[in-house]
Amino acid sequence: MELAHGSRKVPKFAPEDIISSMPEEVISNILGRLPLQDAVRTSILSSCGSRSGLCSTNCFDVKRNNKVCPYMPFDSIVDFQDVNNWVEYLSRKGIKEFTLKNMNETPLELPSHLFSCRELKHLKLYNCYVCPKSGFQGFQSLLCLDLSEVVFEGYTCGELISRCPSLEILKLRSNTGGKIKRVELAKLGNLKLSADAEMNILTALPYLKTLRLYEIDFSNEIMVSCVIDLLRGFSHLETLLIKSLLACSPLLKKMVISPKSSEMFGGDDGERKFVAELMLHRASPVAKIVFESSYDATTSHD
Amino acid sequence: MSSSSSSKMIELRSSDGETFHVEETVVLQSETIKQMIDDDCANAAIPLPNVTSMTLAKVIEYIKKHAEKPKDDDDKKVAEEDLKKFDAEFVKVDQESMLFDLVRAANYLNIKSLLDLTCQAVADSIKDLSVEEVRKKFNIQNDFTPEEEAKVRKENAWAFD
Repeated sequence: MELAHGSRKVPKFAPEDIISSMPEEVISNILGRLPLQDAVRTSILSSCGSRSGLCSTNCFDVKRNNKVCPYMPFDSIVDFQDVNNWVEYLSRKGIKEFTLKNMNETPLELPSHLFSCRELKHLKLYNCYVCPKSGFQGFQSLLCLDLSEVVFEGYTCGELISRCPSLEILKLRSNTGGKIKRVELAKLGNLKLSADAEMNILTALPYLKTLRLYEIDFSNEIMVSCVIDLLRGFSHLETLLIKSLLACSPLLKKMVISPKSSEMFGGDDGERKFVAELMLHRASPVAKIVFESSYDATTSHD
Repeated sequence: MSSSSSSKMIELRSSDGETFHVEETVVLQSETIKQMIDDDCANAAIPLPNVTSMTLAKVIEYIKKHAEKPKDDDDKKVAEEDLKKFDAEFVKVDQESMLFDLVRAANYLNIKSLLDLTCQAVADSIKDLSVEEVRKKFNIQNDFTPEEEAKVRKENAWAFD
């Protein structure tokens, strides 16, 4: 069928263009439910559609059976080439949030076009490997970086972080499977090394508010000193989550917590709950948790 | 069903001037109206200038159904199934424009579950359609020159194969 190409003039009596009359968030809600190819095809509907960043859908879920889904599962099966195409498409739209969750066994190479997304604010990656193209300038606007089972190639996590000067939230999770090398240690090591070397990581992240570290091995001195160095550098840090601290420290005898005020735990009862929670996950049967505080007499919990 | 007879009634006025009386507990599913009630702006009839009486009646049918509370756990399962069936039937509208009206109303009234339901229905209805068919469905004027269209197609060639 011959495509009709209209002129820029829209006839006065033309029925209302439904797309243009819908709020943008509604359009992306609808497009987010479409199979990838259908969503991209909408860019050709009219110049308005392709200009306005209609297809701002940018949430991926590469599932076990090679499905990519913006927001929701759908039926069309796509391959990794499609992911690359999709990201290339998105990179022209100035996306701010990007999540790539690869549920396949093999890590997925992060599409290189993502490194051109200068406006990116939130980046969440699961089971990918990252090798930025040469000349990568960093994510100047990135606020939140959440990495899980991420492998770096020819590049370190520290280098990446040092190129994200606006970062506020950093989440580094390790993988526990043996297939991919344990990136966590390497990442932390790199963070420290980079900090000591030419790039000053610690001052590179003056706005960091939340830091989550998973599976820190507290029997590893290098790791511990690295973590402590990290913490010193973050003067704005509000939340620190060390998930497996007690669970990975079978020889721990005493842990001292010196909160600034009891409000840190949401009042007196909060402190008790906090300790109960901690005790539940300890690996060492003798570990004591001691509260030292300026606001109250020292309390001890066995 | 006498339990809710004491609930406060809220008056809604559609764009064409028709008024509807809905129990406050039911109408609270709309975040927009909830905000108005919280701000104490719901003492008189709430005007909804963007929603026609036909659309509003449908919306009220939806939120009424979704406000029904199951009595016990057994009842809950049955009710969930029942609700699924209701939702499936609800989006089977005679006129396609009604579906778009419902999307707009759900967005304006900020009823998330209804917005999700209707957006999914729209997405389902345009899946597998050709570009021309989608243009027709949405009354979209193709304002691309052939060169421009070819360029966009080339950029995203993988999606048009």
